[in-house]
Amino acid sequence: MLFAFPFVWLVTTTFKGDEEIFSERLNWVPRIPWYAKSSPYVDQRAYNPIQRPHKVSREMWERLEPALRVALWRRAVELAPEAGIVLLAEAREQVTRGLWEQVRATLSAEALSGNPQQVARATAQAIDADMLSTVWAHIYKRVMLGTLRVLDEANKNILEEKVEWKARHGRLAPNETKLSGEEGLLLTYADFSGGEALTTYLPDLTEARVERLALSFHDDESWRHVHLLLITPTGAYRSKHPFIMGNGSWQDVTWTFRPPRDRRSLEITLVRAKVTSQPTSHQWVLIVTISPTSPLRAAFDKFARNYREAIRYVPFWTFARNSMVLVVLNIAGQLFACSLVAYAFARLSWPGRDVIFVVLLSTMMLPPQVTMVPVFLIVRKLHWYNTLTPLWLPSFFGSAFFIFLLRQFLMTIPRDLEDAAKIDGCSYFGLYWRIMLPLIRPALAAVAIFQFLGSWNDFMGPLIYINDLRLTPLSLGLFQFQQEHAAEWGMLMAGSLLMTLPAIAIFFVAQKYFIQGITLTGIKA
Amino acid sequence: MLSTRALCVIVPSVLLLRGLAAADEPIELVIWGVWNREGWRKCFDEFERRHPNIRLITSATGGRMDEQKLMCGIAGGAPPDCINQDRFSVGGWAARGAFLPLDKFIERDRGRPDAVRPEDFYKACWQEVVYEGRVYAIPINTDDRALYYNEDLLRQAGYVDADGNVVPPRTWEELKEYAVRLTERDANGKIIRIGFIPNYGNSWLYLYAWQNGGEFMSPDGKRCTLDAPENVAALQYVTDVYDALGGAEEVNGFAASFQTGELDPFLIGKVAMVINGNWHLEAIARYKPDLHFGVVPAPVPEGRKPITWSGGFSWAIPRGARHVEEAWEFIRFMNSLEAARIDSAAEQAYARSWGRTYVPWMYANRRLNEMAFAEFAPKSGRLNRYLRLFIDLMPHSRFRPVTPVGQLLWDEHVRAMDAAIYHKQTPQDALATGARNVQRQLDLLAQARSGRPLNRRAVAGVALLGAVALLVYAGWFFKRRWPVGAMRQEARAGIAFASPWLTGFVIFTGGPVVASLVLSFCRYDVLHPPVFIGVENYRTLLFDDPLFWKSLGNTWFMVLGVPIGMAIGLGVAMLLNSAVRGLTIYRTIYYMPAIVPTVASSILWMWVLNPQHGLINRGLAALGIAGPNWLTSAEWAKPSLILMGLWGVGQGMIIWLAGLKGIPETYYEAAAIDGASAVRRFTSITLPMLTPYIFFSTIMGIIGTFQIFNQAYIMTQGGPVDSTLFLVYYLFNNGFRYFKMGYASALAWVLFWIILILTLIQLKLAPRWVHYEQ
Repeated sequence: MLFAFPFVWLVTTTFKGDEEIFSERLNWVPRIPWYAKSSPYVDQRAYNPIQRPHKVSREMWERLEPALRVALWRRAVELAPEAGIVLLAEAREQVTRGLWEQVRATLSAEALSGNPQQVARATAQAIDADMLSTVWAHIYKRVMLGTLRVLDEANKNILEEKVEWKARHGRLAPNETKLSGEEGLLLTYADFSGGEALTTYLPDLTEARVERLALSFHDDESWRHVHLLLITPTGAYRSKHPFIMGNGSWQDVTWTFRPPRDRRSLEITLVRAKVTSQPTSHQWVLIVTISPTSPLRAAFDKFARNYREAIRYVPFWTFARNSMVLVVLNIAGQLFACSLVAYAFARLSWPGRDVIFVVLLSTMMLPPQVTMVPVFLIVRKLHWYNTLTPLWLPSFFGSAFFIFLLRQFLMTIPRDLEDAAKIDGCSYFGLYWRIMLPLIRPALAAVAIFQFLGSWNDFMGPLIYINDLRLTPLSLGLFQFQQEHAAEWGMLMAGSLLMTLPAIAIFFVAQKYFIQGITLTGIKA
Repeated sequence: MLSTRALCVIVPSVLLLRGLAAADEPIELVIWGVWNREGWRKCFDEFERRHPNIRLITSATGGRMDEQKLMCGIAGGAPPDCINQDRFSVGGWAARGAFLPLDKFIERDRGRPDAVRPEDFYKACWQEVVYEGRVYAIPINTDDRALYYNEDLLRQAGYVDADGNVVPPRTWEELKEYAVRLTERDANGKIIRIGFIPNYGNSWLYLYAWQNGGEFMSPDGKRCTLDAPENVAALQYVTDVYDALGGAEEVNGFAASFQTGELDPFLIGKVAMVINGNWHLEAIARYKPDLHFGVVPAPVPEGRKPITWSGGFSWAIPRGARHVEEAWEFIRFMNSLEAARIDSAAEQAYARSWGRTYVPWMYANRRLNEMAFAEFAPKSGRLNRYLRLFIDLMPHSRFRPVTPVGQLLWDEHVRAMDAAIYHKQTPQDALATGARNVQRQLDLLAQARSGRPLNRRAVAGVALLGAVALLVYAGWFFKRRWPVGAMRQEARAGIAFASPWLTGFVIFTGGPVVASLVLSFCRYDVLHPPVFIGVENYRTLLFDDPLFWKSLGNTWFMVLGVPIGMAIGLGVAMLLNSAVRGLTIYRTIYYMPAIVPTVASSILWMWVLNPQHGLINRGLAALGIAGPNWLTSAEWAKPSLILMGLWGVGQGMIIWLAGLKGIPETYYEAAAIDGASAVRRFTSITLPMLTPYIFFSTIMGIIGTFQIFNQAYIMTQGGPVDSTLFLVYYLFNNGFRYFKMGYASALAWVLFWIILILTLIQLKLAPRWVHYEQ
């Protein structure tokens, strides 16, 4: 089972958010998002349960823990006004845990010994308003609206005044909680059937060549979708895809009229929309809708996030298409060339056959590195550099290993059939095409699978011959992606898994032939 | 056959048609090394707006760490049209003939209002792109270094004048004294704050050596003067400061806990003074705008003038670029005042959108820099004052020598510095060793320019002769063996059917093998004709190249994985063989890792082996064991790769399963009747019966190990400290990174012989232990 561990780790990591990935604990099961019917809410899972530190004895801890809990909460209540927080009773457990996590690391063994009451009090005293703010910001999930900026081509803000938002159902109010540096309106809402809509009216901006709208936005990690509908005097636009509230922090949500220049951009494109209601003249109307969600939908969105991002950042489909092209051409080439050549070696007698067969076998011993350099020079001379050609054309000349495999298989087929056909006046090509090919299908299947894996995995070939992202196959593409996003493990794992899936699928479908191929030749793929 | 006249008509019309088609389609200008910079994005947009016929295809490829891509692109005849390169490396590229000289464009544009004028640039920036009198790139940005100090800490320590102003150190002696005095220790004597670390931040020996009047290369660039007396004295000073602080070991132990970003040790007061670049202002503006800090030119030896040094990036046009004119157009635009204004405005807006104060970077072009300072820098306060100071220091800036051995010089200077501050060598010895290594490479390069190019005609003649001889032999062979009668047809069909492989063999194997052999006796960098140098490559490789031996040793270490893998594979296979139920499922699970593409499994294992958050170290931590740093530690990198390899033993397992199935059950029954124990049955029946499989797996395993490349390339890039530099990786680096094609070919042949000899030895030994059933 040890073998399955890394693989399971791969799969579960793809479903995790950064917080889970970099948490201190080893967690196998990705978290299912907390489903809150209304917002703001207290995230009851933000902090892990309080655990006994190694430096404290069990007996001591039994007395210390209750005292600590009381002292920490009391300290929180005491500090709340200073931190600008309205504490909620339901958050007690989480606040206690969070504060403990904040101070835990700074405590020495001496600080944790002695009278439990005193220790607890001293520990609580070490907490300041900043720590409480940090903890509160982490557990109190809320939607907040910051400033809206309307930017022109030169990235200049062309809307100087502050905009007024109206909420259709919920309540939009200045935030009572004054966390450090936080400015904005707090949205209180519950799951309605139609979703929560916020509206604002802007002056006509048509003249000013608006390029994008950036809204600083604090999401509540409820995995609801945020859509934008924009009605201008000249027409209506909607966001091409939603913004999904999955971060629980401040960010700039940017909608743009122009498709972003590069794929790394996080901007959401606006597309033309049809609306029935006619816009009020000379005003821009901005409608931000938070659509309702269900626990299932939220879980799906959370689990799919890494995949979505991987597909967007990687240009996954471009890479996959290149890989597919290579796989198909390579398989076609190998099947055609190898079966033909193998037939010549197995069934036809021609002068020099045996000598050449020995040469063929010995080329299998030759490390490919020996020919790597001259082949590169040939490719360069033929102007095939930075094209897919050098990665598939050689297949049409066959490869020694597959020829050997097919020849071994052909040797096991009785000659009677052939002889009968020969008497009927069948040509050699006819013999090969009509009689032999159908008979060696299982071996051809093995060849196809080996070649599939070979081309799908090939890394050094593209590394040497391809320098254009548009021609890059998945193997090299994933590597380059890894180079650029070294720390985004969730996304990297999703990309890796996506690349692995076709290989595994093929393996499951054709396992029989695969194992047959290995045992027939005894050679590893 | 087409007549010549027809050709005369067809060719021009085809060309014309293509020309017409090209006029409609926009030119795709490929630009590499592009950073994710908001300001640049705006500049590119503007450039495209002004040139509707040009479309920019930008990518981050080919940056500093990606030399191989650029080199392959140039050698393969499909380089980008323009690339952003570290100026420091421009000399090396120019020496290889990889970049186009730009003088003719500069000359041609003279007088245009937007011309690129050498006199506009800071001297240190411009001279860094000039190699042997020609300009190979146009500088973009620059930086320089000065001493940052924490005012509060200096005030606390009493470094104030009569008016209560903080007095920073001015000389080396003062710096050392301040450093010691500002260092604080806890009750146990552990450092909790340090005054100053000579090589923390960004100074390196370069700064101290230049301050002391030292040089690293002779003016003609032929001699390395790393061990000049001034440099030795500078290194002595650096060592002294470390010693005064308690030794490099203790100081660097403390420094190992330093973080970046908002926890930068200077920002949080863990370091009182640091020599760093102007970019540090940006970090201060971003994370701690209220920090009380000051900047002064870095302290100098008594009686010397302040000095600093600069680096930065530049635009270059690779040789073989398809759209040279457009690329130059692009470079000229990026160097214009308007582009700088667009760039700065967008960057400023971007910084503001995050609520940060914008501190512009420094342009290498003085005019652009003054514009950016006047229009976009903070108008007052410390950030304004000190950015001005950095700009005013630029005329006193030095730059790293422009030489093809720049990288080596850098590496050697770092190594020498380490050796000296850790007292492994005296500063004199350490620098002398470094100088020797650099000098040897320099001499080699000087030699490389001499030599007679391989006579192409002679080579072609010999090749032709060989081919003719082969053909004659083949003709004779076939004539003698060619069958008569009905067999004739079959022989013809046979050759026809085998012809794909025969052709492929000649083109992709036979020909290249011969070519590779010839190349291994040449020096060949693709850009220049090959030069015949006899056995020089082999001699260097065997006697003069420690890296070759290191890579061989590394590869040999990996062979350890072969028997371990076989044992595990066999063990698993035996377990599966006895448990009949669910065989397919288990087999699939074990086999799966072998299916996972190398890139994916490498990335997965980088995550599994991540020192802080990886599966293995988390698991170990749960057991109370502190796991090693795996891939980032020189000792553990190879075992990590072996471990990862073991995950894939499922592949071999299928062969073992087949072998086990082939052992007749009757043998075991007979043994059981004789009362043989399970161990006995294993050693006396299973193992001997499996010897052919063991033999086969060993041979294949060793061959496979000697070709290990992908994992090392993806996961460790040969590092740390060359600990995963394997033979094929070294070969690849030589061939496709340094483009020493001849040397790479020699390496390939050595690899071939090693594999061949190992295989032959095993074949020879086989009869002694491999048991074949009759």
